[in-house]
Amino acid sequence: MIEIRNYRGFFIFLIGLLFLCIIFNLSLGSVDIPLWEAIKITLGYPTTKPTFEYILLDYRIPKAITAILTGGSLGVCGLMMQTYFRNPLAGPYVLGISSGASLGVALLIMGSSVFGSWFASGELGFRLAIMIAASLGSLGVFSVILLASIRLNNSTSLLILGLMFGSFTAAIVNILMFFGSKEALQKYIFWSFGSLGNINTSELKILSSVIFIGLVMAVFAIKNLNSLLLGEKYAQSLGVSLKRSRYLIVFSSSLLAGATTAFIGPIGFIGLAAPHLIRLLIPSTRDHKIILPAVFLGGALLLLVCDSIAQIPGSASILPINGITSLIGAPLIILLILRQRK
Amino acid sequence: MIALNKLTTGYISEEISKDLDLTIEKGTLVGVLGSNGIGKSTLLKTLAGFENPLNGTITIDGKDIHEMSPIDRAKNLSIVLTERSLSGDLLGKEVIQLGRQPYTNWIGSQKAKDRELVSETIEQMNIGALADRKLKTMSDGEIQKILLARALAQNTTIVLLDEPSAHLDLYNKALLFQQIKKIVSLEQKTILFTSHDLNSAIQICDKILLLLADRWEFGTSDELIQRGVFQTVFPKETVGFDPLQKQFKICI
Repeated sequence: MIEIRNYRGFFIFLIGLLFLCIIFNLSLGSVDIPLWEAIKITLGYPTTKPTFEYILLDYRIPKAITAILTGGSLGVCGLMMQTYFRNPLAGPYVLGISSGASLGVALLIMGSSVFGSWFASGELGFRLAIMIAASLGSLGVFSVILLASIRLNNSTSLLILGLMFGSFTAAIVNILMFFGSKEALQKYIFWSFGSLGNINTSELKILSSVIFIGLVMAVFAIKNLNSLLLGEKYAQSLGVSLKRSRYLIVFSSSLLAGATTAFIGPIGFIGLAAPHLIRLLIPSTRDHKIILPAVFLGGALLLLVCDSIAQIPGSASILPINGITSLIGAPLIILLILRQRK
Repeated sequence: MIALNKLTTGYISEEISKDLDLTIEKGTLVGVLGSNGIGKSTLLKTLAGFENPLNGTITIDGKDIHEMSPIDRAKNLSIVLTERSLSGDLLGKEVIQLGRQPYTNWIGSQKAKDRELVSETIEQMNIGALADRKLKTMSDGEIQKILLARALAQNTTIVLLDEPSAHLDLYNKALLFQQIKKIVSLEQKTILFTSHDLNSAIQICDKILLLLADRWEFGTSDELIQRGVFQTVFPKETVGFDPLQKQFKICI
């Protein structure tokens, strides 16, 4: 629809801001690394402080990349859901994919406390088991949703189905929690706080490959998403195959939401807020060719900022990222909406 | 040229229009008329390819529209619906540009030709002032113009309009019908529209397809008047037809 070059300035602004946030984010943590050192090490210059290099390369840079990928994916996923369901309240959770991941993890943690431990012991084995359980959980819900979407005729039914799945899985998780031991409950709650820093380089490779596939599919859905802005009937009259575009959108969002929840844990709010944030910043277009990449950057930016705040500058403790996202994000959106109304 | 060949529309449980068999030439304005619930919209949805016919076929220049790929159909047929499921944040211009979707590449980039056609359409419809406004700030009449422009930008030989005058006052209705007449004669498009406003339709249509409970009639308004079919549309004691003034009148 609208030329991308008209928005070049906006993208340069977003990318610039993202870089600033990355540098700022890298310098934060329990060990104080000066901004300048952080920039030097990131760009590959030799440094006099090997500890700094170790902390940055093995811990903070992977974490920043994870934040960018996760925030961006959740934003894109939320945008697709909002356009497809024509509902501004839709987000990555509406298909029930994240709830599926939660169910997988709850089954693993509580189940093992009830039936005895059967997964590999030790911290590393436990983390791996959690990721596998979360992946299987989201994959399970995803398969059911995809099968259902073949039978269903409209997006509203799919929306209701997804929300029902969410409630259903949440109910099972609740019952599991009721029977779970104190330690298991604690473990589950810690998982549900979400964590960006728990991911190593090889896990990051898997995460980024899945996200890459999800994003490529999202890009291929752009034309259909634009037609869908007119409603399903008009989209159809413009040559859109409703079934094919539904598979594309459901598949892509499931990959994005499923992978991030499996590896990072449930992260609320970003998927809902990033599309709204970008639409408020560029109200002059609804073209997904512009909005979709902007939402990726916006989601990445939001999560990076939240992660920086979660570090509590000057302290050694880290707040749960899932709490911070809403704590920071909600007032931001309220502020923007109030300003726009004037 | 669009042809309905022994076409029966409706749903599995209920046949609505039976055995429609007619041909519509290029550059004709056709009104699909009938009372509420008689199957005008179902016929239009079947013509658009949204619904499958129970029987028979619809062909455009010999090609069955239900055998066409969605993209091919979109290049032959455009539609303006009564349902307003559009996102209110869209700009008028963006809606019209979306009319070019069937002709664009995988990601939907518009070429110079597409942009030219869109600005020509905006000029032709005289809606430059609406182009940069959001749909949610527009009146029904203004949205109707935008949607019609979108259908024109789709550059199809056949345009279907479902109840185009439903939400409009007399003045806006007259403006819209003038515009439609102009498009039909200037661009040799075939426009089919449904309406239950029989009086206006009799005045402006080249041909009328009248759907009745047990049969259908097709012809110019004068032909239908001669056949005396308008008198049978409504119960005589409530609505009568005056063949001299070519108007329906409420019996008081």
